[in-house]
Amino acid sequence: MALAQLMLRRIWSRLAQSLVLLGIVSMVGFSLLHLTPGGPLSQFTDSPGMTQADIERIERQLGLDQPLPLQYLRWAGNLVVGDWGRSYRDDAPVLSVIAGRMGQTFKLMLAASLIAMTLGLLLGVFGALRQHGRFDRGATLATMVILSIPTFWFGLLVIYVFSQRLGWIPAGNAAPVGDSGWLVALHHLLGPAFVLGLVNTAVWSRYMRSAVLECLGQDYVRTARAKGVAPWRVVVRHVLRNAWLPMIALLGLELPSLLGGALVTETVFTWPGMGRLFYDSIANRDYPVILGMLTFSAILVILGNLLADLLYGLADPRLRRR
Amino acid sequence: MSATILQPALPGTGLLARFLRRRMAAAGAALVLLLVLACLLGPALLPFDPLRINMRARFLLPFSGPHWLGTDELGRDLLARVLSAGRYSLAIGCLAMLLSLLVGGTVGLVAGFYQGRIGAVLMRFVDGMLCFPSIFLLLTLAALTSPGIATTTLIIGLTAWMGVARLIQAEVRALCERDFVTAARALGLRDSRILLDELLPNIAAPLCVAATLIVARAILLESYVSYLGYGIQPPVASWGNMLQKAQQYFVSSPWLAILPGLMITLAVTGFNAIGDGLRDALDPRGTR
Repeated sequence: MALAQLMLRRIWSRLAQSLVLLGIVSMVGFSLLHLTPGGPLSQFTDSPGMTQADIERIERQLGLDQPLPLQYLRWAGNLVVGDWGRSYRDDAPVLSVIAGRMGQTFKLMLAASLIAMTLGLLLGVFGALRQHGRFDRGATLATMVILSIPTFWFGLLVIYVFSQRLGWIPAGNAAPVGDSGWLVALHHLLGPAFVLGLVNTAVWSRYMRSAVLECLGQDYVRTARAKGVAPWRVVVRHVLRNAWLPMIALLGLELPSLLGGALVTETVFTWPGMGRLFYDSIANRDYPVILGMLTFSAILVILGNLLADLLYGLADPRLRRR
Repeated sequence: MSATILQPALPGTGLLARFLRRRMAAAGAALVLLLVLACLLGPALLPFDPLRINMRARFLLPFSGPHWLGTDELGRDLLARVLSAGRYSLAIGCLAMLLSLLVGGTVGLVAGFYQGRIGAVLMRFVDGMLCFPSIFLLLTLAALTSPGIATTTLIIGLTAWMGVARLIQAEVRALCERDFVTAARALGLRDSRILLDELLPNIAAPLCVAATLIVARAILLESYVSYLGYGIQPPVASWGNMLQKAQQYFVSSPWLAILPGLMITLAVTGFNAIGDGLRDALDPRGTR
């Protein structure tokens, strides 16, 4: 009973925090686009055929002649009810444009995260078990270099070696038109997922290593060893079960950089996801889509953090029992 | 973790020794020094102008003739270009770092010192800014302003300060619990004096660590923005925009793309290694 109440209170307070954050994020995103020199109409003002009267007409049509706070309130109100405006390019509703690309990005992020977590776990654990050993040093150096490689360049190298030279993977896109077999899709996913995954492996293995190192120094590990538990069993049952907890929080914390990495990876591999959409709408100065994507990515991050936070609360028995 | 353990380790005796004892940190410092020297002196020593076009000597291979690292699609000397590009990339990295330290340090100091409403509002703003993936923020700003060296530096600096603010705010909060701040308050010192004379010197160490790590990040971000076409514009070369052009010729002459990318990786690795080494060396608990 008390437990349920505690969890409920935790959930409510986190929800409230997320809502506040949402308000701030929407304000920041909105003012960012409206206060920069280009402004939302830059696409129109740059074209030579437009007269001043035309621009004023468009301004009135889009409600851009009203005071900024009023514009924000109207925009935010529409946001809540799901009206995110329409793309300048083809007049499609922004939310459905984003929704149409979401699946591909999630697929990429999921595949990359699976690669990153598996490799990161292995690298981190084995590194920590023999701290300062040869493997640990190698892994530490490798993660530092990987964290320093520009993702797009890494993607280019992967395309050159594995696509141009060896011909193992396609050079880009999700799948050829009309071909919807899952094997083909998986084949196309290989390159971008590998690139995004390896970049994130570095992050995961670093966190995993320090988490395992911290657990290894704890009393319960010494106790387990002292009473003669098999070494591998100590690692799996005592160390990993505790080292996993911070990883849940990391999942939420790393979401912004995973999304950002997805943008770059998608651009290099011409992967038809949200990142590519964002890049294209920047090139077209498609202001409603840019603002929509900016808001959407922030909402995703807030939701991810909320989820990670609640999961953490569920997974950590210390937080449950209190 | 009591306050006495968290004695701020000011740069001083033994720090350099502790730093250099870490092989990776020392290697990183050497690497950065080498790159900076090469980029500063190289273009003046080389007989080729990085902007000079020579259509008779396009796509020359490295190590063949007078052009040590070959030439690009317009016959410009690649070594001269990559070194002069490094000047811009490194300078933008350092300037953006200064800007983000200034903004992030100020916000962190103020928010950590005035923990009431001001601090809460500032930190919520920081939280909000951190929700945007930084590349999304950067690209939006870059696309809506006219691209150039100054704007690129400005927008990188203005989108990379949030981490510093968080770090410094936490440090300052911890410092405010300490006796010397209470004493300074009891003595009736003005807030500005406590902030600048008492607190600022005590956060020098974490600021140094943050500075090197941000330079690394800023160089990477510059390369992303320039690669995507919204950063440094040709004919001025930066490591990022050299890659943008080289991508077109990637199949026939991959060397053009490999070199600038390698330079970025080297520089960023170097700064990251320095940052990690500094953090370990400044950490009073790390006696290894």
